[in-house]
Amino acid sequence: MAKRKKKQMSKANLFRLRLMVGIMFVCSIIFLPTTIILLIGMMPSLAAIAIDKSKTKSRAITVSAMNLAGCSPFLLELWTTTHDMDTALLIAMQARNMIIMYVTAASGYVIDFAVAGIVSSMLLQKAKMRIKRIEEKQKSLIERWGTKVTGKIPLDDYGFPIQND
Amino acid sequence: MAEANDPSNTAPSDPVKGQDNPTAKGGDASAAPIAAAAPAGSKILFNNVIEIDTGTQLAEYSNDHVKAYKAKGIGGDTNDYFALICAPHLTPRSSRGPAYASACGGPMAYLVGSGVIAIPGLGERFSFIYRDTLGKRIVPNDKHLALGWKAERVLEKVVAPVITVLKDLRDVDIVHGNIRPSNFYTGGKTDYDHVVVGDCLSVPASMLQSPIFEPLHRCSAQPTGRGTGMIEDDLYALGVSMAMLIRAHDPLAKKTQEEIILHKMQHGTYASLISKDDRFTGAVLELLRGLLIDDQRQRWNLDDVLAWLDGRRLSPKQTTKRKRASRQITFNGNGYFYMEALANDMFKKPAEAVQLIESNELEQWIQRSIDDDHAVKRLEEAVVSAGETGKSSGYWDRLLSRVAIALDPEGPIRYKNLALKPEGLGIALGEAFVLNSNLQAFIEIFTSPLLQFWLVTCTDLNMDVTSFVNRFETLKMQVKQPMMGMGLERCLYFLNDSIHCVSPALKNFHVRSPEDMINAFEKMAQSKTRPALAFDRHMVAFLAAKDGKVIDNQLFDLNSVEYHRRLIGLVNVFAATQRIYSVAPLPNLSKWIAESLQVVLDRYHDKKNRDTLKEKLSKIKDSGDITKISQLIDDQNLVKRDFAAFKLAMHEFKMLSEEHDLLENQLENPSNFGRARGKEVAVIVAGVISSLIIMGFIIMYLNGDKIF
Repeated sequence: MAKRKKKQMSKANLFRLRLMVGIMFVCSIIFLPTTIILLIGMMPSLAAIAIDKSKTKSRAITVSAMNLAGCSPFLLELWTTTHDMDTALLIAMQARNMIIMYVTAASGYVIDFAVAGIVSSMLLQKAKMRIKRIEEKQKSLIERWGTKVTGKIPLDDYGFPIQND
Repeated sequence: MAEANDPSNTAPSDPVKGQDNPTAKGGDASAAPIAAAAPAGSKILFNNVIEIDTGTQLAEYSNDHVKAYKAKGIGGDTNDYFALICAPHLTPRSSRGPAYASACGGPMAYLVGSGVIAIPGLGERFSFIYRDTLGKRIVPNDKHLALGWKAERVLEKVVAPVITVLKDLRDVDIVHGNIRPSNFYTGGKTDYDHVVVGDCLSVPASMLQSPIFEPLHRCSAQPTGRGTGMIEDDLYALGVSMAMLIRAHDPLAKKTQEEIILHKMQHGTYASLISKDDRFTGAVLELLRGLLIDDQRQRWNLDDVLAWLDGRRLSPKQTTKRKRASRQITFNGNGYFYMEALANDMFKKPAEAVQLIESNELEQWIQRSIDDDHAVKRLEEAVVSAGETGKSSGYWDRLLSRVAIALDPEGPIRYKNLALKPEGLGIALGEAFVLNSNLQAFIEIFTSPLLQFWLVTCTDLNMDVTSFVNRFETLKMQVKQPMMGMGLERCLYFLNDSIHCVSPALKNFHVRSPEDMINAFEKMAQSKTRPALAFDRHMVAFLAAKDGKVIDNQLFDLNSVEYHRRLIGLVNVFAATQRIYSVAPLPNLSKWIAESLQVVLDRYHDKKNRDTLKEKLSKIKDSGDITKISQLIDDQNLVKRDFAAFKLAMHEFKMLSEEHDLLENQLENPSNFGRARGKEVAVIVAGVISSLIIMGFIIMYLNGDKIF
C-alpha cells in the first residue's frame, strides 16, 4: 500500500518537473536573447553547482546569487534596448562584460569562504564556553545532590546507592 | 518511675508517702550480678525519708535470692526498717504491693513502701521497705522439722495469727504463697504469744517454698513455674507447717527433695508427714487432716478453718482416694503404684519410658491394675497427638510430655527439663530470659499443640477454660512471628505483666513502664560507654505489651532492615512516650538522638535540606523536647519534595551530559565545526548583497543613469 502511494507521489513529481522543464524550455526559446546572456554569464554558477557536492548546495547558491547580481545590468541593458540575438551576442562577447559577470561570481566564493569561516569560529568559541558552563553546572549538581545524581551508580527505589554486602 | 504502691493511705503514720524515689536513682552502675547482694557501705535514700544501709545485711530476713538490708527513718522518724532488694530474674509481686499494704495491720510484715532504688555497683533494683518489727525466725530453717510442740501452743501462736493474715489477704485478693515455719517471726518478743508472718512479695508466690509445703499437683513443678496458686494452697502449707511443729519425728528425714515428692505422691501428704510414732488425737487431728487433704477440691477452705477455730466442728468430708494400682509397674528399677509418681519420674530415663509406652505395657498397667478408663483414653490421645507430626526429631519429648499430662492431668506441664503450671509460664519464662537458659524449650511448648492438649486433658472443671484457650492461641500467634515486637519476648510480657524489661541493654535499670524506659535512656545518654541508639527485641516487645499507643504505629519502621528507618521509629516512640506520659524534658537523650541522626539526615538528597535540618536540629537538641525532633526528621512532605527535586536534578544532569557529549563529539574536528551554519549565513549574506545590487541597477536604469 505504502509502496503504491510512494510510486504515485514520484509519478506526480516527475510530471511537475517535466512540466516545469517544458515551460522553461519554451520560455528560453521565446526569450532566446536573455537565455544567451544567462547561459554565458552564469557559467561560473553552473560550474559551482556541478562542483558543490553538499546536500544544501549552499556554496553554489551563494555564487549563483552574486553571479546573478553581476549579470543583472546586462540583462537590463538587453531588455531596455532591442531584445534580439545580435544585441545579446554583442553584450556577451565583450570581454569587460564577461569579466564583470565572472568577478561577481568570484565574490560569491569570497563571501562563502569568509562568512563561513567567521561564523564557524564564533560557533566554536561559543561551544567551548558552553562545555565549560555545562561542566560547572554538573559540578554544582554533584556538590548539591551527590555523585548519585550522575546516574552512573545503581540506585534503589528511593534514589540511594544500592549497597552490595 | 516506681509503681504507685502507696501504702501510706492505710498507714498514715508511715513516713513514706510515695514510692517514687528519684534521689535514690542515678549513677552509672556496672554489670550487675544476678544475686542481689549490694556492695557494702553505700547508703541509699528512699523517697528522702528512709536511708538504706547496704553495709548492714540482715540475714534473718534474707534468703538465697533476696537480700535484706538495714534501713532507718530520717528527719525525725525514729523507726527501724529493712529493705528487701529483689533479684532481677525473679519477678517481684510489685503490682500486689498496694493491696498488701492496705491489708497490713495484722500479724504480718508491715510494708511501708516499694519502688525502684539505684544501688551503686548493682544498678536499679526493685525493693520493698518493711518496718523492722519482725524479730527473729521461730526456726532457722524448715529442713526436717519435728519440734514436738503442743498442739494448743501451735494453734494459739501459729495457726490463729496465720489464719488472720490469710483472711486479711483474701479480702484484698492476695495469695500469700510463702507460708512456712522459717517465714514465721517472733515479732521481736522473747516469749511471743503469736508469730508474725514474713514477706511474700519479694519473690514470685510459692517460689521459696520447699516441695513439701506445696500440694501434690504443684510440688513437682519447678519453683518459678508454680504460678500464684490459691488460698487453699496457703492452707495446705499451713497444715504442713503445723504438722512439722507438732510432730516429734520426721518420717522423711534424710530424704532428698525428689524422694519427698515421690513419697508424697505414693503415700499421700498426711502419711508422709506424720509417722506412726506421732499419734495426734482430738480436735487438732481434724484440722490437720482437713488441711492436708491431697485433693484440692476436698481440702478445707478458709471459711472451714475459721468455723473450726470458732469452735464449730465440721462433719468430715468424704475424700475420694486417688486410684492406686493393684500391681506396681517397674520403671528405672523402682516400683510405682500411682500414675502421678510415674509421670514425674518418666523423664529420668526417656528411652525406657518410651519403650514402656510403645510396648503398650503402660496402657495394660492402667487398664488392668488401675482400671481407669479415662486415663487409658487420655493415654491413647497422648500417643496419637505426639505422633501427629511424625516420629522425627523431638518425638520422644513430645510423647513423654503428653503422656505425663495424661498420667497426671492436674500436675504441671512437663517438657524436657521444664515442669510448669500454666499459671507459672510467665514467671518461669522471665527467669529463663534473664538467665538465658531453656528458651528453645519454651518456643517448642508455645508452638506445639502441647498447651492445647493439656487444656483438653485437664480434669479441673472449675478452671476458666476460655481464658486459657485465648491465652494459648495468642502465645502461638506471637511466638511464630519473627518480627520485633513479637516472638518469645512478646510472649514473656504478655504472660508476665509484672516483670521489668529484661533487655540486656537495660540490665542496670528496672524498667516497668514506657516512662521508665525513656528515663533509662536519658540516664544511658550520660554514659561515656553508651551503646548505639537502638531498640532491641525486648524493648519493642515490652513497649508493645505495655502500651500499644506509643509503638504500634512504629512497628513497621522498627522492623526495617535500614538503620535510619529504625532510628526514626525509635525517635517517634520516644516522642509519643514523652507526650502521652507528660515526661519532663530529656536534654541528654535529645542530644544523643541529635548526634545519632546523621544517618537520617543523609537520607535527604538535597544538601540544602540536610544543612537546614542540621541547623534546626542543633537549635533544638538541647531542649529535651523529642517531639520537636520527631516532627523535624519525619516530615514526609519534605521527603517527597526532596525526592522529586532529586529526580529533576538527575534529569537535568542527564540532559547536560548528553549536550556535553554532543559538543565534545563535534569539537573532535574543530575545522568543520559550524561550517554548515556558516555557509547558511553566507547564502543569506550573498542573497542580501545580490538583492541590493540588483535593486541598485534597477533604480539606476529607472533614473536613466548609465552604469557602464
